[in-house]
Amino acid sequence: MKKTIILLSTLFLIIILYFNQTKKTEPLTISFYHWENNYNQKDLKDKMYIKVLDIAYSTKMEAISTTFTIKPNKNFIPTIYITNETLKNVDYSLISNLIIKKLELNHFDFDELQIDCDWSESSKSNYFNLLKDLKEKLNKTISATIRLHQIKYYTKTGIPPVDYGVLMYYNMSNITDFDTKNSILDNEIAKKYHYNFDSYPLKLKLALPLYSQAIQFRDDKALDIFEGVVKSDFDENFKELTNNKYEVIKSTYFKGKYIYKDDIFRFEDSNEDDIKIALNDFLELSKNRFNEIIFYTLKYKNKYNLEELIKEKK
Amino acid sequence: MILKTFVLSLALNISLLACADGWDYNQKEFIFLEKREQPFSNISEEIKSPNIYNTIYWNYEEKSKEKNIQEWSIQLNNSFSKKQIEDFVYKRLNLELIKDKEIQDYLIFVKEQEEHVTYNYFLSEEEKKKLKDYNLLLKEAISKIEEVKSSYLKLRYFYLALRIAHYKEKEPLKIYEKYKYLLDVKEPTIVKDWIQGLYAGALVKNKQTVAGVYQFTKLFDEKIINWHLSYYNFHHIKTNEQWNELLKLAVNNDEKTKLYAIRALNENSNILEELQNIYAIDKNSKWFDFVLYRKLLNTQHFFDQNPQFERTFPYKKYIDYLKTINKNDMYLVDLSLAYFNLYEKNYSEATQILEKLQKSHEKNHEVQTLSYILYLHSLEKINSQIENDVFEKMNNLIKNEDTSTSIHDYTFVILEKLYLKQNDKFKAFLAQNINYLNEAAFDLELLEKFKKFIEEPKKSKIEEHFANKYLNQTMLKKVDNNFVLDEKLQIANLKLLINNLKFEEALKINSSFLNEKIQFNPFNSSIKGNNRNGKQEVNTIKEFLEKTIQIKNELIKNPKSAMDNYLYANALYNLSYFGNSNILTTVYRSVYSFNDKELQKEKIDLAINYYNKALEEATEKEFKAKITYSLAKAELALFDINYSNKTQDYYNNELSRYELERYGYYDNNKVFNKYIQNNFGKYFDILKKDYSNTKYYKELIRECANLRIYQKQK
Repeated sequence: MKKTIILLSTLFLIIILYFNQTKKTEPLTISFYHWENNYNQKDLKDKMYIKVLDIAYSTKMEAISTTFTIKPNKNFIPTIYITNETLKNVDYSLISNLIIKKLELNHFDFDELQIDCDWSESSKSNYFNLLKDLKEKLNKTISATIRLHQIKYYTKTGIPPVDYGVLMYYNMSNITDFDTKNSILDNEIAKKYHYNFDSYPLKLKLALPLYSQAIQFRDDKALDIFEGVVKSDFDENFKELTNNKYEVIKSTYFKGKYIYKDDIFRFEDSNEDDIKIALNDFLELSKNRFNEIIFYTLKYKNKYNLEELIKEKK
Repeated sequence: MILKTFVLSLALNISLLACADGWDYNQKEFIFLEKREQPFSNISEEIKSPNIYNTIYWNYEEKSKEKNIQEWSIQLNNSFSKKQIEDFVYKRLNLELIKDKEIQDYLIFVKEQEEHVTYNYFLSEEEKKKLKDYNLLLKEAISKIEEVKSSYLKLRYFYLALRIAHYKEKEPLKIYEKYKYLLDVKEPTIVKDWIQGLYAGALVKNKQTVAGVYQFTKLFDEKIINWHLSYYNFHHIKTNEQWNELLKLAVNNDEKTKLYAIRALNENSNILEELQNIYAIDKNSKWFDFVLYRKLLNTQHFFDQNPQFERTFPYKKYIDYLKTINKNDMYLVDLSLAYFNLYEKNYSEATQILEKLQKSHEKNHEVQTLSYILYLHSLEKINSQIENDVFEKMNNLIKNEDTSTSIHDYTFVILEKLYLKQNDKFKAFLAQNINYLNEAAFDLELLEKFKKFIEEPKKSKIEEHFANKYLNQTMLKKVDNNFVLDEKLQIANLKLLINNLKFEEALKINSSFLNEKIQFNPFNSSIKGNNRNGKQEVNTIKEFLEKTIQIKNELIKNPKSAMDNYLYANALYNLSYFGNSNILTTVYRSVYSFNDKELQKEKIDLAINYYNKALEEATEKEFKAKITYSLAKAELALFDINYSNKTQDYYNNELSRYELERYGYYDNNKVFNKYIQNNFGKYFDILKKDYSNTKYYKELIRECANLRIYQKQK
């Protein structure tokens, strides 16, 4: 009898270990955000999170819907960006009604809705009510974006009442600060937020950046942001300073805007090595996670060999 | 995502960082400059922000309509009212009143083609199908140009033809070339401005971007109705090549310098460099002053009192540069230099420049204003004589000028600082509240001071001004030529007296408010923490005060009366923040905070005192249980008061406000733990120990959540 018990226990352990091992070796998958106001992607095979609505507030709630010139793939995830100002000023029921109305207007076929909002203490309750309300009315999977600080300080910031979260592993430092090294992705800064992943109750997907940009400064004050800039753009009319900064040596038109002599540009990129470190760090940290990596955004899809980048990551 | 926020915030020049109440980052609190008659000159906010763009566009639409109606009025021999013309032209109503068939036809035609080119029409698919073919409309418009006799209508048909051709991409430039001779009319008309805008737009659409932008810049004159199009289409210039080509199109230095001026309108432009560019071409260019004026206007942020946003302008660079300028008209250069030196606290230099300006522009209001601002900044102390001096100078400047509000309000900003410097907090309070005195800002001591101030003879013109301003705000009224409190402040006074338990004095206040009914009975106590139940609106405030005084007197005669002690304690509890009649003691009641901690504590301490006396003297067990529960409620209130969090009052920053931890807190269990740890809760214990066999206790256990939580935590 004893032998049988030992045998069965050993067998049970082997099975457990086998399944555990199998689960861990599941490969990572790639998906993308689409964040333009016009969607015209043909024959796209990738899993997509498409921003369909931008909700902001100035003196009243205003919404910008993405124009779809091409119908998105089935199973895409409509994503809605809501400014914190909106949640501070507009009751969740009005926002919820607007979202549902806009989704209905577009006749989207979807099973999941993602909400992106950098909520704050004062908007938390309204935001969480919105998420609950959407879940109740739509009866779909609801996901929400999570910033790093919202995990570290989750007891204060709260945990959104959603089915899962998407950790935005980018835009982690103050873009307007002249001394910021790279506001898109700085793994040293990210490390400061590597707390509470073990106890954070939401299952997470990881979102990683691919984009690049340059910030224009004058007298140390941030003036403007230039999207999609590449390093070679600084070959002419600029003098390279330290820390990815470039000084304008001759006033000139640059990317469609007039910039002036002595202005300083900080070039920020999502470097492949940094992305790899970020991915490794996340995989180390988060045990309660999905195997899906969402890249921001689709338009930089071919910047790196993403399949290669995620290969062998567990 | 976040990126989007930053893109938006930066692209819109950080205007999204503005407060939620609509305050704009670029909005200036005080502007001391006079208006200029040039496009965009008087807009102190960022001109590309959506709200400013909308405002400009709506103003354009309004003015455009007004001018159009004026032109039609002349055309119709001034035979119709404005309203009638509006109905003809914009609503196509009562057209039969117009005898001229050509005009009638024209107005009907406007409607037919309008539906194709404006976005104000929300047409169903059915309605869209019914629309007349725009190709036919275009043909008709062109043939009408030829057919109609009136040159007035010819020009308008030209406009309509060009518009529909432009919108439907039907070779508008050919139409323009063919009929541009019609523009050669002497009379000024907005139709020419509209055509110019369409022509410029058609060039851009036809990929003749630089030529189009150049034509748009011809609208850059406030006399032209659609001047805004010049800047809002300037963004089409995106490369050095385009810019150089544009410069080549300029036929003279005026046009050339204007291009730099328009480019300088961009919020991220380097004004100093653009000024240098203009100066290098023509030092006397009016566009130099145009650019400099907008810079000077923008620097008026210096006078803002909002400390949240720190703005740093490189004034010194500007001073150094402007000192090198030598042109025929130095007025704006000097004015700017004076202001920039003022910002840099170079008062003697600013004064020297001012003196120069005063010689050349003695009666100029803008110069007089600058002189006044410099005077205000030179003040180091304040007294009645200086107050008179300030008032006289201020009063001379605020006579229906655009800058009057700024001059007036800024005066009181400076006065408030001077009063505070001399530790005169009362007058600082008056200065701070010059435009809006809120009755909620007072405590009893402050109101007593205020009453004394308004009743006494005024020592200066500024003191009179205070009283007159509050008179206009109906905070004061005049009786026999003396200032007295008006109803709003009388009510505040009455409430403050009740809050300070001065019931006899409160009864003497001459206010109809005394006759208003109280919603709940202040002598009532129930299981509900705030006692808000029972019969409503039974007693007036006057009756309540009389009854309270009566009970108080009874207690002097018979201190052992259990019922009187109990009723008086209930009244005190109900007048506190926690009871049912707190509104009798405060102008505005917040649901989660109060600003009078000491008075709240006093009321609850006294209530506990009287409840204890009542408990000592009561004989009936059920009654004793009820009193003990009232004591438990009062003790809980005391805990809330003692552990409240101090913040600043919203109405008077000299006062504090206290927020309660137990209210609105999502996890009250934690607060009850604190309550227990700090030795509160003895009355809950007594209730359980001594009165658990009473009916009242059984009712309590069913209904009182606090008691249940307490017992659970304990």
